[in-house]
Amino acid sequence: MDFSFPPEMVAFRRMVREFAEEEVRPLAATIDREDRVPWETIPKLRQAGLLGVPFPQKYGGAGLGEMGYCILLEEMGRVCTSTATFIGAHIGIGAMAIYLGGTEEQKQRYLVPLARGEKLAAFALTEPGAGSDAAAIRTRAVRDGDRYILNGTKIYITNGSFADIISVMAVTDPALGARGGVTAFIVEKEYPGYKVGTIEDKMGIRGSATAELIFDEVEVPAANVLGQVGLGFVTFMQSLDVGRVTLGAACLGGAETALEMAIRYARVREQFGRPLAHLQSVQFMVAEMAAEIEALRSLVYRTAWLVDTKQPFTKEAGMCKLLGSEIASRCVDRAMQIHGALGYSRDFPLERMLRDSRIAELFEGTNEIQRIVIATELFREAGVRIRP
Amino acid sequence: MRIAVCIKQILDPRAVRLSRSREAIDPRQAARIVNPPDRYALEAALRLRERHGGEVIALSVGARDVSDALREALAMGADRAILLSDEMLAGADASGVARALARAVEHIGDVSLVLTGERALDTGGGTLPARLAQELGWPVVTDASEPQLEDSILRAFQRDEKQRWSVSVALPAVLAVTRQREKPRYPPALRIAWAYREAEVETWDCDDLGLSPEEISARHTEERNLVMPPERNLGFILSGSPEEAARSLVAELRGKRLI
Amino acid sequence: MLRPLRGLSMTEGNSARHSLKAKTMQDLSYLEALMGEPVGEEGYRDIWGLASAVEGRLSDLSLQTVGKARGLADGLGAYVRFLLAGAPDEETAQTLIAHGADYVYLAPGQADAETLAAFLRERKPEIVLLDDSITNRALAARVAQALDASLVTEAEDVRADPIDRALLVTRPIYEGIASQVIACLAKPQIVTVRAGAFPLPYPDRSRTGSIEQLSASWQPDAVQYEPAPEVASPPALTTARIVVSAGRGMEDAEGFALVQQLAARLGAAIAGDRGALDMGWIGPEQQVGALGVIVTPALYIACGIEGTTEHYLGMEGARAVIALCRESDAPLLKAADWGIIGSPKEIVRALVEAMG
Ligand SMILES: Cc1cc2nc3c(=O)[nH]c(=O)nc-3n(C[C@H](O)[C@H](O)[C@H](O)COP(=O)(O)OP(=O)(O)OC[C@H]3O[C@@H](n4cnc5c(N)ncnc54)[C@H](O)[C@@H]3O)c2cc1C
Repeated sequence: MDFSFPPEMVAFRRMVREFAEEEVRPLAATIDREDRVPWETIPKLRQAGLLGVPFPQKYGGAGLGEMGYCILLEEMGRVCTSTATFIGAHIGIGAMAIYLGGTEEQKQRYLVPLARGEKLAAFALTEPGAGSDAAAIRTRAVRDGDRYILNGTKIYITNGSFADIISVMAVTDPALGARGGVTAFIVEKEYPGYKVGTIEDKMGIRGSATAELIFDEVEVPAANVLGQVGLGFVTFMQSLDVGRVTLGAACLGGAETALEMAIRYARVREQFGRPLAHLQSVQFMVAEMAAEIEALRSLVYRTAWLVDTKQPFTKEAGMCKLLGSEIASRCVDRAMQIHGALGYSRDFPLERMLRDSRIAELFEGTNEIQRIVIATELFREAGVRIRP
Repeated sequence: MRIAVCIKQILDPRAVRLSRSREAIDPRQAARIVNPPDRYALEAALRLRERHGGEVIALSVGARDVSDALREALAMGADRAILLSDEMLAGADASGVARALARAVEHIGDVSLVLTGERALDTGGGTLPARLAQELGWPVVTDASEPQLEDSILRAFQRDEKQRWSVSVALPAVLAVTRQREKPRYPPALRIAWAYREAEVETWDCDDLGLSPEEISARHTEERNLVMPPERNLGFILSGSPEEAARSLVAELRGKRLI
Repeated sequence: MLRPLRGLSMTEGNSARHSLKAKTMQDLSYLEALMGEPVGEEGYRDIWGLASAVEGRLSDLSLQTVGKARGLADGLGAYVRFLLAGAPDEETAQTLIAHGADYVYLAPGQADAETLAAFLRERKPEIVLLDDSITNRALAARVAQALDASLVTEAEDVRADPIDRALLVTRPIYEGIASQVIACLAKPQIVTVRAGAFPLPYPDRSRTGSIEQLSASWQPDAVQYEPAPEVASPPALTTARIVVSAGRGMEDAEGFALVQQLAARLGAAIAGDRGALDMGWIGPEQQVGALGVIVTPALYIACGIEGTTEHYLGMEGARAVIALCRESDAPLLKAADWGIIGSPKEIVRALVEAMG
């Protein structure tokens, strides 16, 4: 067993860290305050080849697999959750659905420009009536010759307001429902009838745009069916699995930053005549943060290894997301406690980090859903089939 | 145009610590990185290549593990990477390294410009570019920035202790590049994957270059003990009138060469 | 390319001895007898230096260098011989002598490596001292490479080993976190001396020495230099060597203007704490602290900043700190290498004056 990263991963992390420090960190507070997407960062991400990191080189990616992708999101998560979320929605669930479910033609036509960063992606599943219960979606796709007509509304779609290419789930056979009646489609933003609706005003990740998408008689060529007709859930669940690993990685980054800040501050802040570092309550908090972070790191990169070596990883992906989001929230919360009033200042990053970290417990399947995913796998291994 | 860029691998100076008890450098936290100014030199080379065509060759002297630094140069965009690695070179000082690099530049052939970083941020004395120029019999411009090529005349800026100069020199020449405006690019992820997994780093030894031990292994200087900076003595208050206190402060600062 | 060297030579008949004032025509044979045979090995003897005269003046650094050469020479029993380049005249040569040189050779023009190397090859100095500068570092490096000499740049200290006469030179490493002693193993031993490394010697106007005009000349430089317009840009806060930082204690716009003067005088970056931001003196990108920018300069001068933990987090990486505070219990005083208590305005004004 060798826990060291291969040289290309070490070099990649060095590059991404520098990029994150120089290009992303300086904007983190600004985009939060201004409630806007970091437009100026996107061309730089593209130039550095960071928008297609996991995909094979023949599809315009860097060929660095899930491990490289986790490194990317860990480093982004250290400095800016909004930017990490933008990348996560673009690569991890948007483009990933096409990579995992697409035909060769679809990959050439859609994945290649996405991986090169020439086009940006979103992933549209959630609807007003279908959150955790994804099977309850009502967006309809009706076949009409060599095309489908889509009607319906998606909400809370990350990157939705500007994505060029959207992977969309729609019902093709209401009678079959989730079991054979849901199909995935690739939709281009130029298709007539496709509209961006309301943009959410959120508590955190305010530098990431979350939009409502409206499909009004949108014609989609039959060639844009992603995966098999009726098996949309399989494709989407697979991409969500991959996305959850890297969401765990982004949380890992956020938790690391919180720990580093806590240590730095406890070292120099003096009360009762000595630095906070000498108070046992502070020591305990810091020790727990470090222990949790170390465990999360092992989990995330081991799961990335499972993905890259093509072994089952659904259960572990759920754990990455579940533990990652909770550990990140806890670490940020503890760091704020250690900083006292300073941590509560809007001029200080912890306040933003606290608002930002909360999202990871909610999206890409709430943590309750992750527990169900994990339990379902555990019981399946024990011969019990759990139904949602 | 063929441009050679000299790359040195060093311990990350931002992570090097001082162990007062052992009176030594503590390198445990420090990763091996490409000497930061060398990346500016490589960036300058890549920009010249983009404007005028040609080839950029990264060149380094050191043990086999230095090939990592060269791979980073390949990832940034160098066309070729050559490592001069030989037992005999292991103990070489600046003079021997300059000689080996010069011989390699001649061996590559047809090189019209050699770029280096302004200095190595570890223990470098900033003498390599001029030594190399001496070995090649070429002119050298140190502390240069923003090199431009116009009809085989190289123009650049140089800032010395007093002012900024516009310099020009006919090629071939050696140019040592400072860390100024033209920031090194991020190596694209795709090239990182290629550079570390597949790319070839050519390795030359002294035989390839026709270098004899006498030429490179003579030692001119020897590193002895470290001198620790004085322990900080915090909380010292300068007394007297503002004028008196200010005068003694200025004297202290001049004495410690802080101003 | 460099043209083949013709070389400076003092031995040729055409190197006319300058007509000197009587006092420079002292009898050096007496001194030679006093000092005995030069003790340097392999015929390497004496300490040579290179100085440059600009408009009849020598820089302070050149005087420090010749003073150090004198000190070494006295310990080693050697002469101090200086090449005086630039636009040398007899008066500047006399200044060199007053500060410690025994022989001064007037060599007008800009020194070049080939000529200097050829000259030193012939003269075989034991030690060569140069002022440390961008130009001299390159010159010294070329010469050392050509002569297979030892070379140490940016010397902060130079001593001669009392036993084997080898020079032990101290120079900074890792951007100044420590210094290293380097022993010179080869002759000549070439050293470039950093400004301020040695004190300015007191001139002794009664000292005498010989002044000689060299006939041959330096080679023209292959590199053309033209003055370029300055691109005025104060150093970036995060990479500045010196940061001058203001706080509420500077009281008003007039006080902050003094801080700006001090920064300009030092070529330092201007910053401030949260109070300075609130006063509207600085922008948020100049605010030092956990809420703003983190700086790691060699010197941090806090003017009228009492010091919160928040501010301290932004400047704890400074290698030296000066705190100018009104109150004697200001927290920053405890973290400062030097503190001055009083009206920050008056102290800053006095500082600007004291710097001249
Ligand atoms: C910022 C942001 C970005 C998003 N980006 C995207 C995107 O890009 N694409 C996309 O398709 N969606 C996106 N979403 C939607 C997100 O995935 C959903 O919000 C999420 O799946 C939860 O759905 P819901 O909000 O409707 O909550 P609900 O499903 O209504 O859940 C409410 C509560 O009930 C609990 N609950 C529900 N069912 C169960 C159960 N069976 N057992 C136990 N507890 C249960 C939940 O855990 C939660 O606590 C985003 C959301 C946000 C806020």
